[in-house]
Amino acid sequence: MTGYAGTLLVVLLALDLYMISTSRLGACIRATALQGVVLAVLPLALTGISSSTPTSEVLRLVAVAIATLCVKSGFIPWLMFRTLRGRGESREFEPFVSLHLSQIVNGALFGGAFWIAISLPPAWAHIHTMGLGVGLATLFVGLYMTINRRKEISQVLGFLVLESGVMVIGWALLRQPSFIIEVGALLDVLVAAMVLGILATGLQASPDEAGVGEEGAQA
Amino acid sequence: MTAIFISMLAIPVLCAVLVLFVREARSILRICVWGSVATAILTVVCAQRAFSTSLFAIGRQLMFDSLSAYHALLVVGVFSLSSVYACAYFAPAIADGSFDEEKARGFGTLWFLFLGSMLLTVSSNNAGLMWVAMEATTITSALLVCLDRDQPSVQAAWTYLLMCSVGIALALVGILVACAEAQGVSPDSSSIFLWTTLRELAPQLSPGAARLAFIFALVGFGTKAGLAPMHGWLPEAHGHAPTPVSAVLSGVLLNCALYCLSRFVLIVEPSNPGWTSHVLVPFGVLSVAVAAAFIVHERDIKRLLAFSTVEHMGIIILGFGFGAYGAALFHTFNHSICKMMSFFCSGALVQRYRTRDMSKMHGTLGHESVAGSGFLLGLFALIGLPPFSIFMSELWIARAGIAEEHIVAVVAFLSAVALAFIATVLRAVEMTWAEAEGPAPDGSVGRIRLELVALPLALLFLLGVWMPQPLSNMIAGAASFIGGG
Repeated sequence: MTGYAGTLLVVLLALDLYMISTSRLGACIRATALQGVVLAVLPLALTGISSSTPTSEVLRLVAVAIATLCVKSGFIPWLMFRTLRGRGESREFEPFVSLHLSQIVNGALFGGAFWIAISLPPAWAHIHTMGLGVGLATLFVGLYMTINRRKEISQVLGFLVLESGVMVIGWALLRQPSFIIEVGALLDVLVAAMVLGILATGLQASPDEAGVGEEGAQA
Repeated sequence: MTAIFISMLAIPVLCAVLVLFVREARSILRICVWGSVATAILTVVCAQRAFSTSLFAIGRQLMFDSLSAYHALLVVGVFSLSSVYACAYFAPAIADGSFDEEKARGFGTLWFLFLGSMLLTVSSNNAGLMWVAMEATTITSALLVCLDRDQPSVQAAWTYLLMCSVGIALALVGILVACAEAQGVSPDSSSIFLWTTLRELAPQLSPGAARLAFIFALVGFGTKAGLAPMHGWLPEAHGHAPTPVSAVLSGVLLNCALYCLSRFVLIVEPSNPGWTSHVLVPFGVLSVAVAAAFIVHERDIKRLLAFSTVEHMGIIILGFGFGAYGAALFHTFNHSICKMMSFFCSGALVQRYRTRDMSKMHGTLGHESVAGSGFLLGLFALIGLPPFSIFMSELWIARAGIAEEHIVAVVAFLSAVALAFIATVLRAVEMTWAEAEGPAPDGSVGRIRLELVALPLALLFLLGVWMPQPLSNMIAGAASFIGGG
């Protein structure tokens, strides 16, 4: 089973690259949904379930996988598409750094991520080096998207990618289920995405419609 | 005792649900007061136990040690007083119908969830659970910031939620790195997320990994604590939030972020003695300097207080950096009490003058005597004027810096504080005594209770001249938990 982990990580990295290079917001949302699928399956591949694995452990892993799938590949993409339609946007037109230049920047970020992963001390031999590299790369891409893009939807997508990166780092470093972190992080990201979606909808209203200005009586 | 501890965490959640079924805005605000006070009483009981036995645990996941009990007491104290103030603050809005039932329900629910998540943050023994609770505080408080749903407040909440969520995600990497390192040296891999285990294993952790974890935690929790240069969200969120929310954000939420960071100091220091000071001192100096530069130009009363918060967070971090943990914790206490009271007064002034621009506020002592004098004295205390206790804790921190031979940092710190001092005094004098040019301000103000201003001020004055033994013991207990001093 662990043989699949490498393939899944490559898919994750390819999706990162795709998101950096496209300005279409719909395509970015679909890519995060696909990342959700990869994230759901990755723990099963990384931990390597065998006949000796206790049933309770398998059940927990499967439960986390299903929850991740529902939240990251189901609910959040649906919510993002809804917000996108509500705001009538389709493309990220004005990133601070152009998409072409972003490719070069992210090439450097990827290099940095893998350099960190392979240059860790020998005491860390038990960790999954490629998982850590891909996790860090995904984290950097998410951070870069959040900072570089102007549209609120793109920033939320950047945050989701970053959070996925953190989860991959978690699995690569610990290689064992930590239920509280998995479920808690999933819940947090779910609620954060919901709230960000609501706020993004609120932000589209023009300042004239929004009522009270700087000197509102309710400061 | 277990029941009391569980009730302490459960009451905010129950109250959050309860307010959804209450019909009148005033009743909801009263529930906010009584719910917060009930939680406060239970917290005091649990904290007393934690201070007497040094660690008080419920199962493996929840615990109160002297450090968490100290912060929990501050949380419930500030929350209770802010709930009382909220009744006065929202009274005019209730009267004119702009704070209706629906808004009150939203406020009440989020208020209690915010309180509950903060208490969970400080009482979690599991680093992962602590992180989850910390992120929950961000989400609930972001919704409180944009309670009015106008464009500037939604924009402020957006920036706040996004910046802090990203920051907190980086802090999770720090937690994961620390736990992964502990996994290598721990015989029991199921307990590596527990602070109690991590603390025991701290001397065995490899120095490099511990430092890496600390850097991630510093950037992550530092963003939430409003340390420069990650403070971008703070002035906006504090400025646009309803004033009781600003008071809680500034008074205790940022302390909780520093609490999480101090847990990491515990993990890093044993394997890297003295290393944290090299990282914390520059951050502290930068925060104090950046805040002072902004204070000079700031005319918005609430943003001024927000920048003052950045300054004081920097001072607390300097205290940690100088190894004066007791001084840092004492300063945390002083700042929370003073900033809470100053926000109360600023809220009343903003309501009276219908503006946040301090250059348009004149003769505050005459028009709004309680809030005007409270704000003036609060500012004096915040800039470190004796005999208020902030002067004492700043002095304590500066002395520790000199003793540790951080001379450059101490000079930079004192210069920045002096700059903020001059700028604030000039502004305060102008708004307090300058003759009003136009007609008297006509905004409607909820009557701010004299006790809400007088009690914190009296406490700050008292602590400036005399330190009571119980508080001294509490601070010493919490400080020795981090690392003596």
